[in-house]
Amino acid sequence: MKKLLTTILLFGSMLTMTGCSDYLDILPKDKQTSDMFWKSREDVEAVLAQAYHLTRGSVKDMLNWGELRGGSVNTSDVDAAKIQDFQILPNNKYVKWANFYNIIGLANAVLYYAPGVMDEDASYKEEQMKSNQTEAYFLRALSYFYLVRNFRDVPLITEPYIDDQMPTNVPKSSESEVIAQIKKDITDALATNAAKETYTETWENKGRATKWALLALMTDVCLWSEDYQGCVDYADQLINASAAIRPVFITSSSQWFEMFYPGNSNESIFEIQFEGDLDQTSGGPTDLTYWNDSPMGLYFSETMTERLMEPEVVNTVRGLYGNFGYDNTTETEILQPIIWKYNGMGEDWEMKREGDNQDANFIVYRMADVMLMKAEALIRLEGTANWQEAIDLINQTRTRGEMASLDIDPAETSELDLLTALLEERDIEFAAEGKRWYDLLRLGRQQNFQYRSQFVDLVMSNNTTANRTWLNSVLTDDDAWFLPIPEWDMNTNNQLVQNPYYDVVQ
Amino acid sequence: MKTKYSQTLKDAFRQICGKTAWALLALFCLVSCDDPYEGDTFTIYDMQPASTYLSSREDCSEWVNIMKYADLYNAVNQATQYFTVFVPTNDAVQRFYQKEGVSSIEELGEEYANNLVKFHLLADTLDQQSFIEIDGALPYKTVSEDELTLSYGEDGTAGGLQSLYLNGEAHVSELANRVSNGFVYILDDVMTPLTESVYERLCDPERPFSLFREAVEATKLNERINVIYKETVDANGLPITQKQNFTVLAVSDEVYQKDGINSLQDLIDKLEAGSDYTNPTNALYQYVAYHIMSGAYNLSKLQAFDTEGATAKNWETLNPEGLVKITEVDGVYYMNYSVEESRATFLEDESNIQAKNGYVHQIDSWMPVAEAQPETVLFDVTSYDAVKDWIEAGNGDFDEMKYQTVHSSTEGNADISSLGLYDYYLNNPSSWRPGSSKPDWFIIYFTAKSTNDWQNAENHDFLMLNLGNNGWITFTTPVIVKGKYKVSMQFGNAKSMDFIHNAESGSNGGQMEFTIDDANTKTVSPYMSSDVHTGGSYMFTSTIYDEIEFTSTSSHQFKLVMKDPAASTNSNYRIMIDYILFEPITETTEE
Repeated sequence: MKKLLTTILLFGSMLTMTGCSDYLDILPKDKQTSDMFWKSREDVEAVLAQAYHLTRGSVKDMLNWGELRGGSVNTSDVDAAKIQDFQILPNNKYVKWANFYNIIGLANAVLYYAPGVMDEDASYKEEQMKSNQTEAYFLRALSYFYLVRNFRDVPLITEPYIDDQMPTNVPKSSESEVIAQIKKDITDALATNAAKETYTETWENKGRATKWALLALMTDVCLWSEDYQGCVDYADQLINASAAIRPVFITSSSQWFEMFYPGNSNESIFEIQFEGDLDQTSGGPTDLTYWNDSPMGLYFSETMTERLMEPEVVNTVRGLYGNFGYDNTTETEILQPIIWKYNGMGEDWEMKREGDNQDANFIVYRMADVMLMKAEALIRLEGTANWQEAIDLINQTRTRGEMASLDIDPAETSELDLLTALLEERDIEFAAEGKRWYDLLRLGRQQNFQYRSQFVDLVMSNNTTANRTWLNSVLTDDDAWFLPIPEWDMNTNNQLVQNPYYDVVQ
Repeated sequence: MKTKYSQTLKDAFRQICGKTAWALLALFCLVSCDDPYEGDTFTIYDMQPASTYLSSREDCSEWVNIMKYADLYNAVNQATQYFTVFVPTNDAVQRFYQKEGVSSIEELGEEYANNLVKFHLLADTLDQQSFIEIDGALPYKTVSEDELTLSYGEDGTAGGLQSLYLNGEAHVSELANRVSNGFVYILDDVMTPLTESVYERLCDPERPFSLFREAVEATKLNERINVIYKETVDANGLPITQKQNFTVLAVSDEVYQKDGINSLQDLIDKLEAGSDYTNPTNALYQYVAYHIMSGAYNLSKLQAFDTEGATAKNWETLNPEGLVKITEVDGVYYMNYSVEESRATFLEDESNIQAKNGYVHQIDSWMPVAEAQPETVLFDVTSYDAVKDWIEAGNGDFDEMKYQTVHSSTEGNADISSLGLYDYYLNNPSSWRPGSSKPDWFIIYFTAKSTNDWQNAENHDFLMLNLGNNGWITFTTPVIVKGKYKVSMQFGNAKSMDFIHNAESGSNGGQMEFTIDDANTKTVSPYMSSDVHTGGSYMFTSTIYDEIEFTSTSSHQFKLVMKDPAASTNSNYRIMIDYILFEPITETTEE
């Protein structure tokens, strides 16, 4: 008996040492590893679709970061108002870059894994694979472009997270390194000749990355990085395109509002899609600016309202019930002007968006933007002919906007006067489209801060909510024109060094 | 058999347990105890109290020495008290020693060290978001009872967060290091403790006020503004110490020279003043008094207005008939904007000069006395430094009660009947309702809590009165410029006071008789107004005089007599006054 029991116990103890070596390898039934995924074309497209889906979650960042510091749009949200008032600290809940890095992570995965899928799925041809990769390049480049314009130096991650050996703590790369990577991504994508000009579904032509979207993004990146000739060249590839289906500048004034309702217009190049019928309204432009929210999220500022109420604007397609609107059935004066381009379906308060119609798309690029970016580059390039062309481009959007043409003689004007006229036009044309702060930043930073004081004056005069002394003091420091690295990332990535202006913050 | 079998098993197990099991256990110990986290450090609780935290920082070691020498090291380490500590670095302290001509804190003495540390210490928490949103003075005084101000500089290309200064002299290099009992801010400079009066600030050799100072001395007003603490007696004859505060609108020699005033005699000639400069009717005296306000007002306070949408406010000065009107026009704050010869603006970089008893602000014109212009006057009937000092001295009904502050779930009460702020007569007021902790308090300073509409009262507080039927109280109003005014009052109402509105339980509806300067008698029942929102804690306004004319610019005696029998019989009876509002009536003539 003693031997028997001893034997049983010894065998038992051996089992504990040897018998269960692989149970940790068994995966939960609802989980897949990378090795098990990436088997078919559908897998690649599913990841791309998820990346596009995540762009919806970034619209709030695109609007808050692109508008609030510019002073044309204000917010009632207490935390977002800290951005508006330049009282930004790393723990602000609206200063988080995670959503953009999630998109980058998915784009990195597509770029890394998609070629291998061709070996697994014979129906997945190289042309389709490269086309998918151009979309990934676009989404990665666009995400980094938002990050670099807001945080300046950011961690540059171009590889997917494959296994635990991958570094999770990545230091920042410089703005110029990030810009170089963005340009390389776009150049690589265009070089494949696989970027599509059209897709099967109409909405896909505007909602997925096309060759046109890559060109528009490159135009913007060139302008930001002071490559003015590059900006003109890429803009011309769009403006002078001859493809049967391509984005074109809408010349008809009466069609201006159609860009926002119903959206996906001929002028549009890339817009983030929302569809009320599919319950895709949360986080969209209408949701963020909804007329019936109390307090309202985003609305036009006092100074912007004054500009929109100017006689030369208010009764045009870009005025009342164009860019802005208000409930004229109950309000005798405009208290919080509603961003009508996201809240209206026509030229009357009764045509306000409700229910499933709260689904305006967020337009990232459209042809008027490309034309005015080209105009800005031409102004910076100087020369009477360039300036005349810039004036002509500005006049095209003004004419469509039912405003008189600029009466400027290029031989008698100055670069600053032209840039000022351009900024005023962009302010009205792209009101609340997430462009204003970057337009102002280009004015203030470029050509070695040549127009720094004009930038400060513009920000000061447009902002009616921040303490004047504080605002003046903050704007003195050009490091303060960018956002702090989010607190969570500072705490979890020991390679990060807080951005210079914010290094006093604990 | 059964027993034997059982015994055999027992023996077997005993042997196994005694030998084999021990062997197996040893085997398990050998193979199963690899600790994958061996060598890692685990943080259980990584925050220390303020003093302990500072002891861990080499760059602040000298300040730790000062705290220990001042016998405040342990006090700042208390777990039960929250602090915000401003700590100069070692370099900053060494520069401070150099400036003071000493080499160690011991040479300055223990009392000085104690005051120095207290001057850098708030007995409350101030996180970094609240800190950067401060406009002017910090919301809490230091433990040394001084006000600190925050300003934002423009140091070349560094501004905003990089250019935060306390008291205009100490650069804040680290914001709000969290410690278990508050926050620690690191400074690149020591803040010099305030010891000088506003008069001594005028006398600083580097200040350009020699002519203005001569004028102050000629009128002997220097003796008044040089006082920091005044020994006096309260309404019960008990000795009390009152802090004196002043705000001086100082004129530089350069500004005088621009107007051809190069000497005191030039100023006297320009004012056509007689020789009795110490007489309040003398033009020089009135001019100097016009440049001094009673109270400590930093620029942000002077640039704030009483009512929403207002852009102007009259400020009293030591010249009883001279009011300085501050007006905002296109973002610029003017004194006496509509009287061109007396118009002035603040030289902001030369303003907010702090003293132990107030502020000096430099202005850009010599600012002769301007005829006062009518302006809305909001008289918050509890807005007195004496009330603030009384609450801060711990006379509230709970320890944490603060002046003009909303507390999250507690309403504050303090008996202020002995402060001498009001003339009053209690006529058999009813004792407070059973259960009230303060049944003998009848003139009460009251602060709201955050759960009802009372928090929106002006400065979040009320004067709560229980005078009894025919009891009365008289308020001395601020100086009001002569002219016609509408007079209204904001009151508070509570559910337990609804019987007044409903004229039930012996109440006639809260009838009150008002007089101004013993005339203009008016009987009103504000609590019966249809604007009263019953069933909860709300506020309402009631017009007392549709129109009343003041024929002189002066303060007035505003008297309220209770004329409600229930005021002496109902234990829930009280009235709550937020403010009295005087709004000028502008007569328009049709052409």
